[in-house]
Amino acid sequence: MKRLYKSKLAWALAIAVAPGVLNAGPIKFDFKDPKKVNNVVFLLDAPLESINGTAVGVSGTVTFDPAKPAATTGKIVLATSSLHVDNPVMKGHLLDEKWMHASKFPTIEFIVEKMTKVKTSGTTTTATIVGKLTVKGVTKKVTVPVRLTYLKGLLIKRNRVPGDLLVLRSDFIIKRSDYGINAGISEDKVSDEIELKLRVAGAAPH
Amino acid sequence: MPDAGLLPLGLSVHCRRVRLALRLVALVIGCSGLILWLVGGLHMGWSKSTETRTEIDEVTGLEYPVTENKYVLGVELLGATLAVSGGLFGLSLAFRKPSRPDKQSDAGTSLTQL
Repeated sequence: MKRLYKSKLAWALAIAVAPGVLNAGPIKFDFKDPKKVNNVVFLLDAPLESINGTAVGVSGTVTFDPAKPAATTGKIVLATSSLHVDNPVMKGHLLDEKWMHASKFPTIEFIVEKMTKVKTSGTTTTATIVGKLTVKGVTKKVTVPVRLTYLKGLLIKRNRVPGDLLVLRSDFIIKRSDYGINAGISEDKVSDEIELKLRVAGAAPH
Repeated sequence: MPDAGLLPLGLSVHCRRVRLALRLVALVIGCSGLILWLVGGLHMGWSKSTETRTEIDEVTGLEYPVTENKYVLGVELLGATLAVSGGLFGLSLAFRKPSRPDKQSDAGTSLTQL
């Protein structure tokens, strides 16, 4: 009788652990974050003080294989209306027609096509993403550095559901003239270069 | 520009009152601007209606912005209040004290002597 219980217990354990073992393969991470931790910081140089803004309307999915990080693909989407600066007049200008035209171009999209120069150390992978960035309806090919941290089983600590987390950090610079963002105008007041800092985490519940 | 010295007594009193009122308003506006700016932490940038601070997510270690409604007076509004204050003070100088007739005659004498 005891043996029967033991074998049942072993099967139950095997079934419980199986998803983790079987997960060896690409995992789809959802970057929609109701807690609004996922964010993009943007910085533009200006004479009186640099324009320092944030955006938290992040969504999208990334498929990541811990065994093959180079095969990572996906799309990160940012709601244009979520762009925020602390000065209300500046925010009005930022979302209007000349700058981001949020009503006509509601999203900013970043598509991950492939990763190169991949180096993995423990849970962290550094690489260069080759992808496409669409801002204000203009799509450009971009190559940006990225740091991915795979946090296996840590979703339960954050969202109280079992699963994994993928943290993605990337800092890069784009030119507003490349994307038609008030191109060539007021460059003495606001720099052409926009420094972007992407700080996002995706969840993959089991 | 009214020359209070040539005005009847009632009007010169009126001038003095206007001058005093203008200077008081200038003082109140200037001081209010300065106090609001000091309370806002001597903010050297533009005025803000929200303030964003950074926090760190414990699980992922990600830095994220937390925005709260808070008005902070910027240097452009401080400059505007000081300019208005200075303008009102300057305007108050137009309402000069009536000079005494004997002093006026003394001045006239000394000029003719020269």
